[in-house]
Amino acid sequence: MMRHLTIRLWGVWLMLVLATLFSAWTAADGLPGGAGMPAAALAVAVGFAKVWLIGMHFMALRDAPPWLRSLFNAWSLVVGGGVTLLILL
Amino acid sequence: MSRQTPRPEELELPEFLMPYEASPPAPAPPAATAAPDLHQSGLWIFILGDMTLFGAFFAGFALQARSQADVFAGSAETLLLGVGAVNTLILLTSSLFVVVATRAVAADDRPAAARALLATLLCALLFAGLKLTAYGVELSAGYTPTTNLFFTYYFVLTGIHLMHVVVGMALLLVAWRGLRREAGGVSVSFVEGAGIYWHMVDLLWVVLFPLLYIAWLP
Repeated sequence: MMRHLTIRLWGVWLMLVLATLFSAWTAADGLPGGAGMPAAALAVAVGFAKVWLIGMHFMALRDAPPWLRSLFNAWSLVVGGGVTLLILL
Repeated sequence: MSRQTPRPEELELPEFLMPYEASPPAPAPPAATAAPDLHQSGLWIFILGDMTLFGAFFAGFALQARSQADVFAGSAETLLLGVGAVNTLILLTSSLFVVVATRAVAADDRPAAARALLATLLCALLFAGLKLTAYGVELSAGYTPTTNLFFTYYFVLTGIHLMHVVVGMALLLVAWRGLRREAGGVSVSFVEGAGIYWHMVDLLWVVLFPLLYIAWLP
């Protein structure tokens, strides 16, 4: 069953898992740089980076028509960047 | 005087009786273009619309957090961080199984696709079970949607997400049952569509986890 996966897809899944474990571990032990808006913004920005990876690789948007890829990139940038800025500013 | 009969090859036959040597050429297939399939376009408009609605909720939540930082920090501390993290890992793994299913069905390996969808469904059940258990713990500790603004957002956002999980499970179940039928009961595009929906369920949780469980911790 798993022979249908490529090394790239395994690698993306591993990155997502490691990022999740790192986030949970740092949250349990105290966020880097201490609590506060920069740490909160960093945690959320990492979440949106993971969203982008899921979209490009798992949803195969890297091979999608340009209009669709652009819409997803725009969503990631506007919503991800917007929420991160709202926390920071 | 006898009249000579012409040989068959000398006869001039009308056109509709003339034998032809080869079949007429089949019409050429339409040239491949970059234009997307209409059904997939509709699905993507729905997916991006749903994601944008959640994006508005995320922005509203972040705005409120600024004015009630202490309330948000104290409330986030009471959530079960470990359950949230395990549920994130479960959904990420379920997404990988969905990738296997869509690639397998495209390669006409329906048994492998069915097995991958079954694994996805088991992950979904585990996620829902853990989420309901977490709700039980939080409610029995006295935290309800009316406790404060953080918990209002928490229950609304995770509740709407859980409804998406249920819809996703229904789609995956239909796809799985279709794949198990002998005479191909489900199309490749249906499996792909259900898969895209499930990836959306995954990526929304990937934002909800840091936003609710991690960002405001003291």
